[in-house]
Amino acid sequence: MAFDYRDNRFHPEARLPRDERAELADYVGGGFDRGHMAPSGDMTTPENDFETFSLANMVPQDGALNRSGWASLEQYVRSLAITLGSVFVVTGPSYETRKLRSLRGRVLVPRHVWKAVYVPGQGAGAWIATNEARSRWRVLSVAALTARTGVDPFPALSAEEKRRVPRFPLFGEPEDDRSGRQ
Amino acid sequence: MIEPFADDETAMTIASMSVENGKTAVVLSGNLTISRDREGLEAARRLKEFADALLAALQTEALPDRIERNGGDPRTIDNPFA
Repeated sequence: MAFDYRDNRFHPEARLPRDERAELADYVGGGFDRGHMAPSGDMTTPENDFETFSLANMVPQDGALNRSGWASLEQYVRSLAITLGSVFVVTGPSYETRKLRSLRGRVLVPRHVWKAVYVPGQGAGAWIATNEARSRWRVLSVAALTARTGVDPFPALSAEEKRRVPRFPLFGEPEDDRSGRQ
Repeated sequence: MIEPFADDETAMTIASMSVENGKTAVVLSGNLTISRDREGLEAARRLKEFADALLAALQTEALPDRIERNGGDPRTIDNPFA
């Protein structure tokens, strides 16, 4: 594969105004990884891959989560695409607590990160994980994700499709109840 | 290939493993299968090349016993939407 060996570079998003964008210095020494939302490993051209290293595609993510469970989730979603042919993926952070941590007072640290997938003809569902080293995970329906985060990643799906909870694997300890499904 | 410890922004991939550069630490993550074939040889060669560069960089300077990596706890602010 052409992308087995490649160099890349994290960079601030030049298309955003300076006072609205993260800078490289915000993350230095902050104790968090620059966690990709759209994964580098999904990309098929050098241009697309470079764009995933924009800080507009990053959130401050716990290093242990970013490098283990979240990386495994990304690999699993790629395997779905390889097996099933076509997967729509929406990934994002959520910030639902009254107090938020921030990097240098500029970049907010999300409480959770989530990823929703829709496979045409198969179904849809999502994962949500707490942004910490001993991350708590839950597999949930698109409807439940929307209720928790306020984001509807796939507005065109029927209510029935949105209510189904897929039997996805968890990539960390389950949240609260034993099943980790909602 | 990235130059170890030169900056806080370069990154690279060695097959399925990712490497992020930093002035205080280089982080390798993921896992790497070295198969007993030409692909495995290429991966092993890239890995050795990078490990050699790490050693060369670390051996040229007087090192502290342990470097301070984090600049302290992140600031806490009120969530304007909660």
